[in-house]
Amino acid sequence: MSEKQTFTGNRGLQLEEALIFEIGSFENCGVDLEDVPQVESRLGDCAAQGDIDLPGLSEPEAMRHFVRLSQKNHAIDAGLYPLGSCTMKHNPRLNEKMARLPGFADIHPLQPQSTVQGALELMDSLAHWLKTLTGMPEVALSPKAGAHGELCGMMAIRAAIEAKGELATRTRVLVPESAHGTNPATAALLGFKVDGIPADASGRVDLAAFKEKLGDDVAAIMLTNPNTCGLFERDIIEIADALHEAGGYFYCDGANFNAIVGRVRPGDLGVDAMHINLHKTFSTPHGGGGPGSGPTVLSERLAPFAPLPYVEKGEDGLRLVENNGDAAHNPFGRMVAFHGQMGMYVRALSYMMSHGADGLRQVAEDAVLNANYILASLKDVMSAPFEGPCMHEALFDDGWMKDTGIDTLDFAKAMIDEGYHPMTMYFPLVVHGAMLIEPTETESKAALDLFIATMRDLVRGAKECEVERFKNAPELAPRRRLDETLAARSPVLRWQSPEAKQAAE
Amino acid sequence: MTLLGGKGMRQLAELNHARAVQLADALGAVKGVEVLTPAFFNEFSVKLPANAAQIVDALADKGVLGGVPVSRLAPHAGLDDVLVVAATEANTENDVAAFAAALTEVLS
Repeated sequence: MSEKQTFTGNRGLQLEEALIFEIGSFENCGVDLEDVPQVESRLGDCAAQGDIDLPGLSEPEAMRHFVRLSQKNHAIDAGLYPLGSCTMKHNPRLNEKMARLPGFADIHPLQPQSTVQGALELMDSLAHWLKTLTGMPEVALSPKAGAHGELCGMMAIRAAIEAKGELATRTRVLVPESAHGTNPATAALLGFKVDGIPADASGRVDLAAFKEKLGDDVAAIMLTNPNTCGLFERDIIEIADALHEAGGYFYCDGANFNAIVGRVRPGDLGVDAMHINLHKTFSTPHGGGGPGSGPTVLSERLAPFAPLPYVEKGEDGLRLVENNGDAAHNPFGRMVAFHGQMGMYVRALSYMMSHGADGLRQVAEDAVLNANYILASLKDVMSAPFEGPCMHEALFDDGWMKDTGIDTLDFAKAMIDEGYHPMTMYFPLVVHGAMLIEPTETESKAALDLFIATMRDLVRGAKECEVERFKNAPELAPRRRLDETLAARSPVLRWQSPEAKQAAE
Repeated sequence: MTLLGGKGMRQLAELNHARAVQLADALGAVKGVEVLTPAFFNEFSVKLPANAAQIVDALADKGVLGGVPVSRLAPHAGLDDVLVVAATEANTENDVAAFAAALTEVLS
């Protein structure tokens, strides 16, 4: 790349941009507000004592500021985004159009229910299809993210255990070593003791080790299926049966439901609770475009404890059950102030309805096919830790890099120079130097072929010890390799004026 | 916030408050309605001479979203005749007048 220096610091279309605090001013306002009518203040003693030192920009300045910042980011609309376990798939524009319909976008969660019957029907339809696709009798729509859904499911499990009078004795939650970190965190947050289960040589739960850990103090297992190694847990039904026999509950982390949607119903596998990331399986935006949404399906045994609120059919149409006294069952409480992420409900249902049953099945099939295409196309030059086909993501370790002087982080940085967002690195923890690639079903064969060719060229470069290509990367990104350790240890999170900075020094 | 800046943010807040004061004055002038909140920013409570949830439904039939009955937030608090209302910069003086007129009608 040319080292040419420019007067502005811009490099052609790659434009430098200062912080809003450095380009805006207190006096600037990009909104044409009407004059304030003269009234007698009723603020009491709460009137503002001073000004807020907030910089303002005109509308074109604000637009340029955020467009320029966005151009420094990789995005799903810019290119293949192979972050394993994150399911960075295309967000269909039809979903966005539906979510912007005034009857969905411009409503308030507390307006009279008679005026939002369409929105309630949408929530009811979404709930119906989530239950149908998972083979589960109940769903709590409201959790606002995957980990929030985990918390919801585990709170339902805790309520069921409490109802049986076993809260003091069922204190242990089994979590496989390959689990998402949020699983043990959720169990610990609820006061359970976390007990790890090792993986076997095939990358799956060690069934014998699991059975040895069962006992009448086990509250639940939190198992991801397909797991974070991209493998289907073949013993899942045996695990569920043994667990139920021991009186425990089965929490399934549904982050990877996109690999099996339309093909397998978790309810048929013995699952008691599972969250569904609408922002993964059902294509609602995330990775900066969110928010997430984590509806949680519940089995017959947990349905009586499902949280508020929920939609039910009444005499005068649909109604929201918002209070304990109005519920026919025994809700464990509520997870959110209102009803959850309405905008994501609209997008998810739009995705379901536009795909249909056959389309959703094809989502899973193509996601798995694409991941296996990657695995099959790279495993002769990279090292895959586990035998056999994968599900929706292909996992490699750093064994093939031995003695090259290059590590997983270097490899990921070099991918940035090639125009790719790196794959998930160093996760799952059970694999050394892990590289987890999830192409998703929305990439074409041409896009996959270019990605594979790029990866093979990088692998060749690494094996031929082109150390500079890796150690100096990224060289072509808007910023060079950052000091991640310093950033983590001494983050600068707040802007300070030059004057304040000088005074502090 | 980027568009408003500090000065715009203050004007926005003043506009919210002024509109809320106008709304409180307009609703307080409706027969049987009492503004309960002595000091407020842009949201306050009013006591109605009837069940607030029913009044809100009747207002909705007239095309006015008239606030949140306290009974929806706290069903057994004994405050079934109390309504929480708010005004923002998005409401006009015409909106304020329309709300007061609709409330007068449904209470008569």
